[in-house]
Amino acid sequence: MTQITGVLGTDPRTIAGRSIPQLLLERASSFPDDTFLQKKHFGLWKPFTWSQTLNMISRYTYGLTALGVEPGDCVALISENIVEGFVAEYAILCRGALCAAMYPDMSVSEMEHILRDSAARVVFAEDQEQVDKALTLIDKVETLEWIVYFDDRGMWGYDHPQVLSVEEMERRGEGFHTKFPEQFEQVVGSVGLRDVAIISYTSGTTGLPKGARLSHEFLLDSGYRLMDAFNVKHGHEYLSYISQAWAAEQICGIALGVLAPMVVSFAEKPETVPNDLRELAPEFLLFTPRQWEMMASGLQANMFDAHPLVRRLYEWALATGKKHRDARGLSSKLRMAMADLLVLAGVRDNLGLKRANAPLSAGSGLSEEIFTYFHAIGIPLRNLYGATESGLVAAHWKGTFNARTMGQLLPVDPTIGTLLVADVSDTGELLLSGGARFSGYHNNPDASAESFNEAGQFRTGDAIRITEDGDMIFLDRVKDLRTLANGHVYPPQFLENNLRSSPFIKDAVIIGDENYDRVSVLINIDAEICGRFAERNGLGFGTFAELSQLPEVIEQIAKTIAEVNQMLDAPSRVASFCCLPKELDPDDAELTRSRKLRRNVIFDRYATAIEALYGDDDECDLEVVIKYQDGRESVVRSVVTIKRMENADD
Amino acid sequence: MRNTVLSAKSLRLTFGAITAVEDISLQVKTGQICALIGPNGAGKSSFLNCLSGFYSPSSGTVEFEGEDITGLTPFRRAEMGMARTFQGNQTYQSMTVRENILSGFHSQMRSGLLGGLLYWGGVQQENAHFINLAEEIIEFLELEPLRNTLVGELGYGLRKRIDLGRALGLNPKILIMDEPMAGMNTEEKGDLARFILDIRDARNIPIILVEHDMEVVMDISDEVTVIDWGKVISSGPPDKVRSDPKVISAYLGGGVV
Repeated sequence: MTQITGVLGTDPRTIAGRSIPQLLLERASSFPDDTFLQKKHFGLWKPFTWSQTLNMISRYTYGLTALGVEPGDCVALISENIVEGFVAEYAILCRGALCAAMYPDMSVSEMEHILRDSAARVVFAEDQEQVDKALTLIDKVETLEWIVYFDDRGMWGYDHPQVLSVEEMERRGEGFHTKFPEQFEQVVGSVGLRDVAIISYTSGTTGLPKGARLSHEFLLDSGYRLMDAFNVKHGHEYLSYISQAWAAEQICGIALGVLAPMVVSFAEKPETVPNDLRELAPEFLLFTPRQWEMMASGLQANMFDAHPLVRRLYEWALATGKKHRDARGLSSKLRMAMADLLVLAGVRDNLGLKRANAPLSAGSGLSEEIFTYFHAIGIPLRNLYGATESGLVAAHWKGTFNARTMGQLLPVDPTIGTLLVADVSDTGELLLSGGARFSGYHNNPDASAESFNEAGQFRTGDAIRITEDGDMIFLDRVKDLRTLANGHVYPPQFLENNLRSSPFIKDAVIIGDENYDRVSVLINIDAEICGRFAERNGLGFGTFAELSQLPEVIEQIAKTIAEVNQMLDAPSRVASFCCLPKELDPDDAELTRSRKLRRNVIFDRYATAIEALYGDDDECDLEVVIKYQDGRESVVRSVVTIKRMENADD
Repeated sequence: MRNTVLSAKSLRLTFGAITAVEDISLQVKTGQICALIGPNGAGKSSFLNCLSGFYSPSSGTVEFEGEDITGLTPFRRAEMGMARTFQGNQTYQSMTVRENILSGFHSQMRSGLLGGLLYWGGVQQENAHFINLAEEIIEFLELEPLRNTLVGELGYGLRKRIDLGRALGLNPKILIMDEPMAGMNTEEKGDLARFILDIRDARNIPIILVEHDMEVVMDISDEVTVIDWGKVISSGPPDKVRSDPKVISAYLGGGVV
């Protein structure tokens, strides 16, 4: 399929023309005594009601006015996720200003670029560390006038006329409040839905970060898509953990926080997140694949220390959970209930995912292993696909959870109107239209113009494939695609990553460029797993070379390749492969020390095998020169089986 | 004008024929970190023990906030607001971090055993009050992630930090620290030095510090007093003391130039 169209959302909590500050004011007058924000302090959860929060926001807003911030100005923020950071951002928005949030671990030079590019007049800095960074820039960045800090620890000895505490800023705003008591609500009333709310700097892998201008409508619409798809209810708890500098937190925390509205909680310290998560057990949470991986490996590490009996029980429950996903019968149900009662419910509670009905993993790259692991525990993990400039696009929300797909197009707020439409261009690029629109890059009209095609569709730069069921599969960035001799474009990294996620495969080297018309692959097997597999099946082998050429091992690899092939269109599928008779080794310069492939060396060294992959023979004689650590060289000769995939063309 | 919090005048301490402290005077003012240094056996610990009341000096007086306390017992001095941390580790291994810090408040707690058993209103309030104070210290020393961890599971540097937290529980007017950095690695030393400075700046508590690590002493102290053979051989700001020939000779040996 090359085009799919999304649907309109049905949730009645629509945006209906209101910007974030306007929604904020409305929620505060509807639910003044309900909790909006809460933070852990002194070991206890301290709630802030809507009216308390609004009061704080209003005080901050008048403070910003006192510092000379006008509607349309930019105010920067650099902080871990804390209540004050959220209040500051809402105050910036209520002042009609733009917020540029930065990652707390940013270096001074990165900060300088963002402060300069956004022309921020004030920067909110969490603590002494951030103030120190900002202070080195206050004379360098001409537009920067004030540094306002939240935490006064270590700030006792600072005496700089442009550095002040947030309390001092509030105090300076009091006069304005008395003089213009109506101003706060007036400005909020004038903030339009289409006005730019934030400048979100995207971590450019090449060149300096670009500031994406995102409107209130853009953030709220993406928030609505999540709310409608995952049934986020009024009062659901959310742990603010990912940085405000990331558009995802702007959508989930700042926008959805007031739209749903949710109870937004803040951990005591970044290090206490696991504990705080457990106490909260939020319904809705969004982590990066890396964070999910860390959670899984943390749990596995704990199980290593457990009593052997406990470990056996845990492994049994996990296996039961995995089986139950595939085969659902009465006996499986009974066993699953038992496993749940004895182990899995406890594990979920321990991870703080007891109540999680929408645990999301943002972006691709979460391995299938981790994905199924969480599903076996009974945590309905779903993938979510989106980008700073395109908002949230797709997720598993219609009941199917295939780890390898990014799910289906999300429903759009009916008051925004237009449906999401995903098109795949001839070059394989995903083009998007519908929903709230990206407002372009800050100070960069060229890049802004380039991000839309003539038809007005947003060019994501992502190579996507749409399955028959309307699921989207992320293949690669378009610039990483390769072209075959016959002109066909295919995603080499997608193949390599998916092959590598099989336990049998340690490395996969995809071959296929302008010189070849098919795709093939060199496989470096995982000696340990394949060795165990061979032992379990009573297969004899002496060396790595022998293990790699065992027909049964090759059959296992072929099975994996066939599965990965299923995700791609026929010309992109792997047509032939062979298993390398020696392990790829950094000592032989085939890998870098950080285990990245050195393709040139590999192509050179295994040229005979590559030639054979595109020939007719079923095996080839391979001679490889290996170097020992003492400098001696020797030649290893082996016969390598060339295996052709049967149904590559289906 | 800074007030003198603690002053020792011409202290002398002898054990039979051995004179441990011959004649040491010291003044500590509010908001000051006073370091006491000297070669091994110079009499530093003996002098500290005179200040905190474990030894009574043969002659001389100790005044705390203008009051002569030379004859008072250590626990009376603690109640008046003199806190002390010791060499080595003096924490309760089988209690949590928070419980260890709470134990620092015991001299201020009023409920008895019976009250504790019945746990009625007043006791509950008192409990909540001290937990709150302990949490303030936990936040100050950045121990939040560890508040419910058993101290026995923690490393040496962290235990020393908890030891310090407990001393802060006394709500001290002066803090005496005996070789707090001994046995720590560079990072732990850096952390502790930061906390010592914060105690001075945020809580305005003067500190007497006995320490062997010269780098730390010279970095964080306001006043340094050098002792050798039971006598003060030099005192003043770190820079002055560092270049004093008598000090160099005491540390490196050789005759006084």
